[in-house]
Amino acid sequence: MSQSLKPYLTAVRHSLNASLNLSNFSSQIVERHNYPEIESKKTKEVLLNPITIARNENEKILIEPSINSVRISIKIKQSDEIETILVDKFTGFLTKRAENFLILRRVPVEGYDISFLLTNYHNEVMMKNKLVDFIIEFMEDVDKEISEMKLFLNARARFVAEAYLSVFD
Amino acid sequence: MEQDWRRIDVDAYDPDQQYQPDPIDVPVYTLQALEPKLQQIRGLLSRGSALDSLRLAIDSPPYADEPSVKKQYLLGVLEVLNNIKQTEINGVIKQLTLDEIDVLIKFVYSLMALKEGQKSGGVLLGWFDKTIEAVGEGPVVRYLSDPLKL
Repeated sequence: MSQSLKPYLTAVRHSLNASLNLSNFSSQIVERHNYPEIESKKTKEVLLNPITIARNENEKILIEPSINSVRISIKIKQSDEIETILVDKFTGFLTKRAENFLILRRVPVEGYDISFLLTNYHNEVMMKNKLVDFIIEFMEDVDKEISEMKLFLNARARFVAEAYLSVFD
Repeated sequence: MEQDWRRIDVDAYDPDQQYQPDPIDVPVYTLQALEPKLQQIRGLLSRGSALDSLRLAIDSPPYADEPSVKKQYLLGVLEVLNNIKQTEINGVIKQLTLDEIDVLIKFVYSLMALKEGQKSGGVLLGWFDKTIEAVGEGPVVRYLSDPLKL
């Protein structure tokens, strides 16, 4: 299973490297305004073709590029109900603090668990290769964290159950 | 009767503002017309000439067709990509021209958006990585702004 992880991450890295060529683009519709075009979608000409990279049906990434912004949505692997709840809580924790993250989107795109919005301003302040590194690391770490949380959860549940039910023994 | 007349997007009805994408000058095939081509591709594959079957599939894909026709074509291509062995992939990629590689990357991306393609995610990712290693990120950049979509 982890055999396809490395090709998955390098595929995402190449696609991100190609899509993260962002330049400033003022809105053509409203004077003096500057929108991330992938969010407003009013000017059709500046939207590029979206890219889906899927490792299998449960793990995929959607990259929607445009001239001045890129939206990256990740679907995290959730194999059972406990993991669904854990992923929900984990992503909720991150998205509530999205301001500190700078590149995180407060609401994930429909069908995915978490979304990032990178604009040309982020590109100016932060280095492009570091941004790509961050996204790739995030993808790796999220899976590890969710399995770790699940293990701890099961261990705690077992301990509590033992302590509580030993009275009735 | 529109209930929410305040939220009607007036700009969408403005005749001057309508966005007309450039016309795509590619012939439109029907599913019947593509059937013999798909049969030929499968035939070449079963006879062992994987490179030729891939070349034929890349030759003139149905860019201007209905999504259902495109899906059938993509499933045919998926068969070809699945049946070429991992060890042969590098050899096949060396023999394709850069234009053909662009179309190959387009196939891989379009397949990963389909459920059937996601099932063979490992194979598709293998093709993608080996191609980009050999050729660089050019095909990805060209895919982003390509008007001919599959």
